[in-house]
Amino acid sequence: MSSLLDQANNKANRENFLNHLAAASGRQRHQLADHPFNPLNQLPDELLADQSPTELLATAQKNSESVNAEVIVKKAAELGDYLRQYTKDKDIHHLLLPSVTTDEWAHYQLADWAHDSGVATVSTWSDKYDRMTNEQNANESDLAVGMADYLIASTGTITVVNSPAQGRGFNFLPTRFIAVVPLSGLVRSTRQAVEKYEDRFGKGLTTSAITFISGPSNSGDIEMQLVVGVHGPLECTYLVVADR
Amino acid sequence: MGISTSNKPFKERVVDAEADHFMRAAVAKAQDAQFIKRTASRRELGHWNQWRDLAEQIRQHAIKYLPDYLEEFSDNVEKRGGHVFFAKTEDEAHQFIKELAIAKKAKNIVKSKSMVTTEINLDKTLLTIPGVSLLESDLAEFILQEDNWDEPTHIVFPTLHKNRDQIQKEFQKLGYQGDDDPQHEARFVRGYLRKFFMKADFGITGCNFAIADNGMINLDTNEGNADITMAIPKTQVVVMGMERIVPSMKEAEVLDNMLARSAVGQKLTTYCTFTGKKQAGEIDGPDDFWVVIVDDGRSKALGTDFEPILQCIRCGACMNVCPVYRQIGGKGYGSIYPGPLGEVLSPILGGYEHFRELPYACSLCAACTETCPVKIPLHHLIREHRIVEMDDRHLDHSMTNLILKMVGVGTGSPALFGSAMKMAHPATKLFTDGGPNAVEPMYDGGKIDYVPKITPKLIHGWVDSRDVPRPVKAKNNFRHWYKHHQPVSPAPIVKKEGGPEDE
Repeated sequence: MSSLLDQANNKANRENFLNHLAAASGRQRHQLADHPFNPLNQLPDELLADQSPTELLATAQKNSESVNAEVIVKKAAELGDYLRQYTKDKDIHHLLLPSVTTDEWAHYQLADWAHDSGVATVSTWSDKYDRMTNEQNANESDLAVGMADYLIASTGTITVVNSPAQGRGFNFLPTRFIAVVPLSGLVRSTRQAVEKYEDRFGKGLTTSAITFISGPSNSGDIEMQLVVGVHGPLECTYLVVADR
Repeated sequence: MGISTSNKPFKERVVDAEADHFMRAAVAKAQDAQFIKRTASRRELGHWNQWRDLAEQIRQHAIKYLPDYLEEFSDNVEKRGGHVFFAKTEDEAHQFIKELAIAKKAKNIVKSKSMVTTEINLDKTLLTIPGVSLLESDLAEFILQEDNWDEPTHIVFPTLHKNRDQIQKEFQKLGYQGDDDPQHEARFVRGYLRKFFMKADFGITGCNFAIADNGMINLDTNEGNADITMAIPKTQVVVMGMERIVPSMKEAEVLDNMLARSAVGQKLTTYCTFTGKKQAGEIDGPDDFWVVIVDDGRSKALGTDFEPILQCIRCGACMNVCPVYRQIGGKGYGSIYPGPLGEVLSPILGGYEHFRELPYACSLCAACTETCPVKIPLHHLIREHRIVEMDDRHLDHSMTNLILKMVGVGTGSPALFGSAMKMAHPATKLFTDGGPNAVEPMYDGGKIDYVPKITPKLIHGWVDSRDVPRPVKAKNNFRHWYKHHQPVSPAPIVKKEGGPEDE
């Protein structure tokens, strides 16, 4: 008996299936070139288009708080002190950092803090370690401080891309997650963020995952009572850098 | 049979549901709470009906050019180094994944919530592989698994029928020592599953939307379990119903917003991820990325009046507004797809033989059609099933013909008609149980509520579950009343043409 696995990425398997669909629907295949999708309205592009940057930030804050994310707006010069205080207040023992370049830390004036955060154990998500060592480090961390690209006003969301410096486990396994996001990354809507990523894909971005994160993980599965903190982080903070 | 959740006949399931007071109260509470959240989140977005128009257009377009988009998607998955298998049947789909799990020497399989994997009976198939452990990682699915694979009652809230105490008892078997606080119970599961996640080698997820133009899949969750399922295991299998495709991330983004608002009244789910095979240099994510595209009867809807059901994005809003679902809950339907969605989809996927009653578990109130974010004409499709069942499948009309013939003879002769009018009330006395009648005031003549056991089933069907008013006494019937009626004086004012509005 031949293995079903041989039929994956197999032309006959695919053609057989797709021809059956075409026959069942009574429609010819390969019509898309002449009938591309043209949206009947522009609502996604118009969302919050009337808001000024200041109003957008206020909207982003309001919507983020409604999903239990804490929004902190600081200037780059204040970030180090804020993070030191945070790790002290929350009694953080194990900190996870991305393996971004010193220049990237310096961009947020965090090079000193990243070098010496004062937390007892600091791990770095890095290709210097194998996959499971990174996952173990993330699993044992009670805080990850990572980079985010955009802050979406309409939904109270930040976005992260999977990269060698900051992987999936980084964003999901630690107990708490702080996303450092520049104010220049404030966008109106998920549509705007998607367009930016599509543009960056066109310019050579390679990533296996883009994740839109709206607050800490949660569930209403038991009697529909909201439980904040399930499989992903229990707490989530957006650290918005006002002058970047 | 994948989508079936019960071997019991429909009526027994309804009787069971009626007796489950906790479930019925929980469903009513959930429907009411969701009504408020859903409505508020839709209002907040604004222009809801135009958003629906857009979402409908996206879904209809994707279905119309389904083979083209699936071809584009599978090309792009391959370009990213992934594998695509097209499965026509439930068996092909689960056998393929079973072979893959064996080939990859999977030991610890972790799954995130997916309706289509339930549909293809995947869990139980994989557990036949010796030495394999499998855990559902969504909190609700985990609870169902630990309760000996109890069946789900809702596509978004699968454990709606369970209370915190039942869950506490289940978890105690796993070593839980805490109280019945949902927060504590959820934290216990976090710890329990985290250990399993850390050794998981094979991950299985569903797919909210597949992105044709870049070969990524889009997943929406609140708990973060799907993202961990895609992070740690080296192999990921995505199981997707063949219709869950969109042209690009832009259309997915529209539907993600519509889905979250419709399903749980959120603006977006906590995690909304576009994902694929691990790229060069990345440390985690799937080295091996497989997509199984499942037909399993969906193509039976293509090109028919039922095609719009393929627009469905599985938000569950239709069951959250359904008055019948409110009474009988998910288990009453006997399908993993309950509510209005299930009434349309279950007979297509599972056949009229199994689900012939479902299109009748509906009052045609159209609340589902009104709330559907992708504008599926649900109540029309439910009615369409009835038409198919009556006209195309029940070709024997002899009973109806006989009844109508008798009515013709009776009403064609004044003497017969007159005596029938006189005798109707006394003759039907035989068919009352004589006891107190809760709805008596509704019917002047009382209610027919008793027929002897030997009566044909057809008549039982009318009397047992419906109110059949008993004909009124001859002196109270309309003809008698009209003959002896005196007009009220003075005659009421009737609106005159061109007169003031309030006349």
